[in-house]
Amino acid sequence: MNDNKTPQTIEEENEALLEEIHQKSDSSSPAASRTLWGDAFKRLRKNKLAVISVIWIIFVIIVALSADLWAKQWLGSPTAADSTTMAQNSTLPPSGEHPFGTDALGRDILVRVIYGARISLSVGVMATAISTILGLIMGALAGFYGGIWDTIIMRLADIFLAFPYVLFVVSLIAVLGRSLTNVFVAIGILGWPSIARVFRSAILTVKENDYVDAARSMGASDVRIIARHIFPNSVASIVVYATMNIGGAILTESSLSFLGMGVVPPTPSWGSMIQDGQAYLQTAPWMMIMPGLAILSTVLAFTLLGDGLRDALDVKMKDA
Amino acid sequence: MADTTPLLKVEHLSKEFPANSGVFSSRFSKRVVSAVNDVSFEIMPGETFGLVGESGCGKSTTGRTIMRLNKPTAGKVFFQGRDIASMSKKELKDMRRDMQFIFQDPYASLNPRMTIGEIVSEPMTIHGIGTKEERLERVRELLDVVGLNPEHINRYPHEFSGGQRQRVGIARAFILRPKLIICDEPVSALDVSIQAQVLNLLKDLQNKFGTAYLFIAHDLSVVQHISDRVGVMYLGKLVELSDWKRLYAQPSHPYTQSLLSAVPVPDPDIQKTRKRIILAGDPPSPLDPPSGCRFHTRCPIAQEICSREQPEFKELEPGHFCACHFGQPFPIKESHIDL
Repeated sequence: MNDNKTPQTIEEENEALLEEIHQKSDSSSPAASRTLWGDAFKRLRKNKLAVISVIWIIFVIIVALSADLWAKQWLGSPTAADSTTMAQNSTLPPSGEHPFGTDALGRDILVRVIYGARISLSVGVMATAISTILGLIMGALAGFYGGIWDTIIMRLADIFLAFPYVLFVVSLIAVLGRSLTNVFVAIGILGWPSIARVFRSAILTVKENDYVDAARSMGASDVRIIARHIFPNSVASIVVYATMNIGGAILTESSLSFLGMGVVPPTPSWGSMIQDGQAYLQTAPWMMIMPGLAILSTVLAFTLLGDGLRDALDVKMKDA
Repeated sequence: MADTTPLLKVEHLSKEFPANSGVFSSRFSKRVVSAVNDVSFEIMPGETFGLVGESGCGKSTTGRTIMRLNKPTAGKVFFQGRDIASMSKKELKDMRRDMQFIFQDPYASLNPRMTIGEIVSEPMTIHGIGTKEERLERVRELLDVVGLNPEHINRYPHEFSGGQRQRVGIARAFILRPKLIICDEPVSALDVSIQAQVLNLLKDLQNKFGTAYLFIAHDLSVVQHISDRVGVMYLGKLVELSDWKRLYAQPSHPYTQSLLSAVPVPDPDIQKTRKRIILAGDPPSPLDPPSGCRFHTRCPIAQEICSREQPEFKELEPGHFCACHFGQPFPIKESHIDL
């Protein structure tokens, strides 16, 4: 807390206190039994940026998933160039017929952005899932058992973090071959050290609590202590980190596609679309701007949502 | 006490922790914190044994080592005649049914993501006792016994006050009807008015279930309220052990005398005139305990022999042990302590 409080901040604090007292008296009525996740959800709903981010992410997911039902009929195929009309249709500026314009091969950019969202979202989610699972296992071993496990795993993590990230993914894909699966496997494998670190430090904090000793003194097994006591109390930081990580993975996939190491054309991906547009930056800037905006807004949404979740799930804030 | 075989027997228990002050220190110098040093005592079934001492004297470590939350460095702990250190994993788990722990901090000792019902029934769940309904039935019964509303079974710990949470912790410790409960300063985190309530609850439960307590506290007035026998610890060592009436009336060790002289007396006239023994300085670091008698650096009656030789923990009279070269019963005026 600040030492030099202005009257205004004191007033604000008093209001917050009053609100807290109010909430507490609410909770003591027999019907209102609230869980911590319920509390977090309530706080998240008050965060406008986070709410907008959630709406945007859900919108992108729905549009990407339902694209087969309407996008092709309306805007044409995202992959095939229309050879007969290619000449007059190429690099058209945004219009009613093509809201995002068309690219050099006469393909509609909006439909390619929509189908690109499928790639970006699946890479983001799958890569994060792989990093999270790996990170949770490694972090649990390091944090819970400590000692030699901790030393080995954390030094391994340091080595992974010291690798030039993109270079490593590029060489991995060069070996494994270009495909969507290889992209998210490569990104996922490289992502575990940061998750492992976050989970490890969360475990180290939670482990010090008496309720872990209490469980141990009752005779609980290690698996039970991790699953029932440590995991539920440290999962908040993982949720936050994983959410932000999705944005990061989307960004990495775009960089890879931009470098020509992502998914194979003509499958549209936001990164490869930007690369395609590079040559037309002066004559048809929408070819770069539209997929660029898609990356920007989606990554930003995941980051802001992660921020909001962090504030909402912070248990310490509530107890203080 | 009709039964003469001790429920818990602690023999020459020692616990040392490695002192890591830097990256390489543990490898090159073998510095250790000697938290508990050669402590021996017994607890009879149904008895309350109080363990007192100032902060950092190793009383909590003693409790945690008996519970096998720490591995003892040396010495033996016999529970119902069997050595805890040599137990297999399975035997240890069975032993834990009969020995439970109540923690000092009612906020840290309850998992905030579990409901009261889940917390209190956890010992039953771990040991696979009863069906889910039977467990919940027992939880409701016990919540009622400890003075909580059984309807609150689905609430979370953050909806309760400190005293209520400690009652939850007590209900959890009692649900398996253990033979021994180690209470690690169970009331020191609570308001004074709540302290008395919780102490009375612990007494009532003891009368009801016949449980023995190892009661750890730094507050002599709390220990006096509940204990049959009291052990006094200083810097990892037990310096005096006796039944509490004798200890309060005739403390033999100068440390016990100084502790007792610091207990406030409700009569202002006596409080004004009575002799107080004020100890100089702070307790020495357990990293580097004084030679000979560990108390000699602060002892008002220390002599040359005290810094050379460790005093023996000897029986002055039946059931009254004291570790002092010059220890002798030292009558404090009866009226000083509310017996």
